[in-house]
Amino acid sequence: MVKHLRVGPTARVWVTGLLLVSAAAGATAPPPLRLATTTSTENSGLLAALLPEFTKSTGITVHVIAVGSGKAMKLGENGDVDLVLVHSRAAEDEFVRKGFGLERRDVMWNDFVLVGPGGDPAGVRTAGSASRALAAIARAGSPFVSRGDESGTHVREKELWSAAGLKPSGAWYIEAGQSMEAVLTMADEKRAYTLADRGTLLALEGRLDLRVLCEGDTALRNPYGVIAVNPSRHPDVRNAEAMRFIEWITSAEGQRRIGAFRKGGKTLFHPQTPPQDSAG
Amino acid sequence: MTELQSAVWVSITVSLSATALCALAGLPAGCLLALRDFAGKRAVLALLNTLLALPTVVVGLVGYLLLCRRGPLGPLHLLFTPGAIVFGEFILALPIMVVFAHAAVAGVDRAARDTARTLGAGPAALAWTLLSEARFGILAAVAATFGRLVGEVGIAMMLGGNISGYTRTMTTAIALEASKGQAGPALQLGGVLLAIAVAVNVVLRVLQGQAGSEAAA
Amino acid sequence: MITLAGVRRAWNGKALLEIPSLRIARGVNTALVGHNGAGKTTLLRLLAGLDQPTSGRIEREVPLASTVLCLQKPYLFKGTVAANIVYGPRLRGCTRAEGRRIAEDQARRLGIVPLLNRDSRRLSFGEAQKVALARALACKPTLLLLDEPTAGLDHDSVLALEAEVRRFVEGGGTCVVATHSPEQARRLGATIVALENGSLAPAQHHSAA
Repeated sequence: MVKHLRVGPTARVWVTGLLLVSAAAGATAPPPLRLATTTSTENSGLLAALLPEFTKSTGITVHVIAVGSGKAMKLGENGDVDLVLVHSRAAEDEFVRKGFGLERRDVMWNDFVLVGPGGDPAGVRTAGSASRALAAIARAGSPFVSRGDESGTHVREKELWSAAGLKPSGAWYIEAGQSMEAVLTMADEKRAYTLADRGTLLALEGRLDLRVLCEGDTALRNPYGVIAVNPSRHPDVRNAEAMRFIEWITSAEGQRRIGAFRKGGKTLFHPQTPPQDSAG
Repeated sequence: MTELQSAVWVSITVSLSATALCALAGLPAGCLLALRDFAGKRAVLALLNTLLALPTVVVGLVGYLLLCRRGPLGPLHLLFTPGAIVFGEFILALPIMVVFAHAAVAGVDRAARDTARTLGAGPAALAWTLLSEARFGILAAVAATFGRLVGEVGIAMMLGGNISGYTRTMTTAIALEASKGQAGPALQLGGVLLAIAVAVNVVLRVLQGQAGSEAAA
Repeated sequence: MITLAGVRRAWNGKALLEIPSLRIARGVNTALVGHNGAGKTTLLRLLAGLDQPTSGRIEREVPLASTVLCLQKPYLFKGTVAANIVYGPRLRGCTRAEGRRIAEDQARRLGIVPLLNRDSRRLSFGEAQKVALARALACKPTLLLLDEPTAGLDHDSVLALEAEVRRFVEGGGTCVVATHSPEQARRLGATIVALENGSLAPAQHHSAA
């Protein structure tokens, strides 16, 4: 194609050089453990509080990559991380069933709540259950902001709509495709309803006019699971270290620390596994 | 190091590295492009100009497919390291460097080429001489490249993973803090980023002014 | 030294030069005499290897690497006069010390020692001409090509430069000078090759004695 252009050998040298430099930049320290988790988990500050303790007692550094639940599991599936910590039970079970992960261990739970404007135009307060509350919102056509990003929250929301026998659509149903904080802020701005995890809500307390209108329904329990990526699928994941993390976080010590984590004086996560099946 | 300091440090080191690599590869390439004629040269230049507007998220996506474990460059274990951001930013900025270098060298008086050649300059010496004659245009290219890279967020996010203290850059940190509704830290970082952008811009204007007079000379 | 056979140079379809036969002799001065547009620069560029003939052959008895052309409008690189003068020698690997010596040497011969540390952009046209010649001579060429080297110089400088050119030829070098002045050609003791409208002036197929 290019007749007089001397590209071959020179180009090869440069590409090799680039890759070597990039690799060197990345390979300076012993490879850390990579944990994929959801943005809400990371933003709650729990991991920032827990991980230094883990590193202190085991010497293992942990790199946290916080993305949506869907993406976190995809990273696990691709072997780009060593373990995943998410709150999306159905997807987690599927993950293990398909052989991407070794086994799912319960770590902690928090719960979701339905929040909305104080005036509660759709009558969520008196709906009785989370699914009926959503049905009420759909009937009233009140604005509802959805995560829309296959996150744990979004999956739970879809399960609740499904339980109500509805498929939400229309101008009132806003699919944001953003983080929990962004969605809460948006719902606050638009005086809309939304489903949120209590942890993020607590973190934004004081900045929002939204009120908790529906809580405590077992369908709103939000359990977290940790799964090590299957080493037979991806032989170079750090499986031994991943198992040590799982041991630690499910140990009495790890569980105690989870329960002891406070934000604004409130407990965000509960260390026990929920007493009964929590899937929506 | 505080979170802020770490983000600034990561941003600057990563972008500087990518800029340096871009210069090493792009300046000779741009020079070559200015000096040689070949079939399809117009097409190559048109393509490069199109690549100037590469969206960072597209580069991030392609970079992820290349660098992930299953990807062709997976064995390098670059993903979610600063090296991955360098890699992605290099790809993003290479067209910028090549196009600028091409323009700078092509803008040097034709007589410079003839003079260098008749005095005995081979291809490498000729390239070096022309780049040197176009030095302000070249420096402007480098400054513009750095400015573009230090402010991008798509590649840093997708290839770096926004890992605290490791691959969290000013831009990804701002995105994070903003998404958490934390205006304070976001503004602090934004201030630093803006200061860097202004500084780069000032340098760029000075250099381009010099480059203007060097082309006219 | 150099033989041209059936050489034609055209650009954009326009015929610039047509030389059926020409031989430049070694060890002498040859002057290309003609008006502006006669083809002197075109011929010099072909001799310098900067352009290729559209058709025909140029046979050289010495390698192209030892041929240096001074352009009609000299281009000086950014930097000092001294740096310009040693450009060629530095390419061939001379050390800084040797370079300094060469620069001083050439500058003395052309009377431009005070200019050595001057920024090359701060020179008059005449000064630039001298620097360009010094720079060419520093390469120790076997064939020196000069395109109107004394244009714009005052009379004393013209004579000084011509003296340098004569000295170069006396030292065994070969020189081809483009000039529009037959008097200059005579002062240089050169064999005259006359060009007119891109061709050798009628009835002159030249082979120097």
